[in-house]
Amino acid sequence: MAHITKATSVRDWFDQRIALTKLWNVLAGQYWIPKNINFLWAMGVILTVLFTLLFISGLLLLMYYKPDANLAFDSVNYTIMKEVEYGWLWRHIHAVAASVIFLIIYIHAFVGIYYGSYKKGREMIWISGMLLFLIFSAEAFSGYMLPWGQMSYWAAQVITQLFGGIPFIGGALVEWIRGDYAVSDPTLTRFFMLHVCLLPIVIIMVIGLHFYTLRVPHVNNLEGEEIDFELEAEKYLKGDTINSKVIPFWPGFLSKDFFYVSLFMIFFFYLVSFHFNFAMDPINFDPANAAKTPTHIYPEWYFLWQYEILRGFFFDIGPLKAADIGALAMAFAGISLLFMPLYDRSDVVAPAHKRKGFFVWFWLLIIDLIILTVYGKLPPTGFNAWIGFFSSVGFLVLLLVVLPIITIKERKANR
Amino acid sequence: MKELKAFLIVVIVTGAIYWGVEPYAHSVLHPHVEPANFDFAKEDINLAKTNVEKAETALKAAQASGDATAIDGASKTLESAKAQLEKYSSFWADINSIDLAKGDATSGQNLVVAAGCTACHSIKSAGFEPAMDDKSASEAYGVAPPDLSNIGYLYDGKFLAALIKDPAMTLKVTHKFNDTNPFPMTAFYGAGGDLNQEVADLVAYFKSIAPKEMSDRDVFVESCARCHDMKYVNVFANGNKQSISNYLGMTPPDLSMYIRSRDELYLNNFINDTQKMLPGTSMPRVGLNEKAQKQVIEYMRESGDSKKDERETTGIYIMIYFAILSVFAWAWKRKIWSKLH
Repeated sequence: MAHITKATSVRDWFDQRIALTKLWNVLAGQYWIPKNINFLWAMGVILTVLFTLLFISGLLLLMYYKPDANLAFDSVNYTIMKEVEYGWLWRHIHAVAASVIFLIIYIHAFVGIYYGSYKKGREMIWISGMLLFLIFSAEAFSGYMLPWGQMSYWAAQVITQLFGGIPFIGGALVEWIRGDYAVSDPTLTRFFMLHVCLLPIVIIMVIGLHFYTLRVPHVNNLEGEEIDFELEAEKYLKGDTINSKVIPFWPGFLSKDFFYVSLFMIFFFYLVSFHFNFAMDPINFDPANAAKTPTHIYPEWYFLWQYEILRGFFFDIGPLKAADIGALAMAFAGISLLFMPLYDRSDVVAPAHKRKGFFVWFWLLIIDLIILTVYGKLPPTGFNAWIGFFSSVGFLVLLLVVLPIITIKERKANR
Repeated sequence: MKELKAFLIVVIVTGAIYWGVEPYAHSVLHPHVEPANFDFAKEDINLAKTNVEKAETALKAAQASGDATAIDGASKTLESAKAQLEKYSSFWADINSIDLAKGDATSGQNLVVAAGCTACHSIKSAGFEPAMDDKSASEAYGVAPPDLSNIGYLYDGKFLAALIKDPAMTLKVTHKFNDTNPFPMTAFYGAGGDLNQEVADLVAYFKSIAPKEMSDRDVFVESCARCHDMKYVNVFANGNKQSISNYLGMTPPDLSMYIRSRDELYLNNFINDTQKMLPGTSMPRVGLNEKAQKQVIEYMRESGDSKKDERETTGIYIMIYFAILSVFAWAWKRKIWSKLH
């Protein structure tokens, strides 16, 4: 038991009992971030802000939302949008943040790829981040179902049907997931549970893990420079803040991020108030109707590239059915980026523009993903189907073949 | 400067994705159509011409493929498109020849009874009460015949003249109704005098009894709510739902959220010319004049997007708030970083 003396201040009282100062220093005051970073390093804090917005707006929506196939649509579109004061604001914040958070996740992840922040000690940061991406995908999908509009219903129908491709247990599995033969009330209530209970708990836990994984290897920097954080921290603490290569998380890093977050929020609320259709598809303002298939079914923009990989394989190969090849390819695409540290066989940590082959590979991947995303929304007929096929194959080849080859070459050249 | 370059790259990549997924994909999924035209003669003839052009392109494509059944189908489509163009050209030429300025409201008033309008229609403002309640009327006719008190407000004269002379053509429901299954409202064949003069007289009469102003709700109810519900503003179709369903081949959708699910542009084009936006639909062309159509859409906004004004003013305030906050955040950042640089 610690030796407790008469407290000299409130802070001292807490320090003696829960080591408040020590905790603050570990979490923020002496958590060191490299100085050589730019706005791209603000994405993590923007994501935290967006997740907080989602969490709070979600709680408020939860007070009026009714998870019942007969009531859900009207509870959202009538009660929340018309009756509740500023209900529209919370719904629009929730819907737009859900869409924009994926944009920022993609920027965050591709900044990580560009600067090589997924390797040489930082693998766990990358892996926990990609886990978050996967759980956010499940969270987004389950949440999209809740307004029980036409797109909610038919997206659920199409995506749950994919599990039917699994040999032997497929049919039973689909039924088990839906809780019924077709998507219906039990499907809605179980996805409601996932969206508001299980998945948020898991997300918060993995966010904790993601933050924790940063502590030992620290954040990467603009040049991929290996910094001796202890030495630089010592310099900083001795008062040589100008020459030290690190800054504390608070106030150095966050003062910068608050500025970026404030700017970002102007843009965000422009979207919320004036330009929200990209995040709230008009078709989903038609109530779910099992008897009427919409002319075009497509997922939200952030799933389009995976959806196009699903559709990209449109012909049977030998005994394999097109739908099953597509489903396999999509399942792999979903988790594929998790294994980045494995495909990259070089241990060079540097921005892509200082790694010739990698630089070309990076932009080819971005272009391929843009093509997949755009064609994922267009009808997969005629010429479009072939574009889908080649860009799907392209994605797999870039990741599984091209990247290992160029990075092995890089490694050998460096010897 | 380097930071700006990185920012521009992020903006360009995001912009490319946005452009592809939103405006570009929309233009593919919802091909451009001519905007709503309230000169219905021009609207109908333009659409018929567009359909002929489309059919010609389809026929060429079919001929290129060499598929005999496809060619056969495409040439049949072209023939019917051409026939349609001819029919609408001569129909509207006839209507355009009516001199509405010569219409006489007093003889129109007599004609309304003599020509039998009041056998099915009520004109409450002129003292003609309905022969039966809406429920029985919808059971008898499929959908309750409209009261004629306000049609002079809702429709322009030329459209009313066309409607009186050939309702099925004007409402664009000829694909559903024919000699064996006639449209419930019969064409007006005249009461013995000059047909076109009588039509002009009737139009003049309806114009003379029309109110000067109507509320958005009343315009919506008169124009849409004989078939459609809009439950979010407590509007319910005033007839037997089953009869309306049978008459139209499906239950007409509730319009509560249509301002969000269809958007204003689509609604404008659709109300103006249903067959242009949804070929083969059983919904008749509504034919409202520009003012009444604006009121209908305004009322649909009242139902499905009632907080638009609040959203836009609140949005501006929040953006101003964050703009001011950005200035403070920037100043604070400068203060902190003055010791770091």
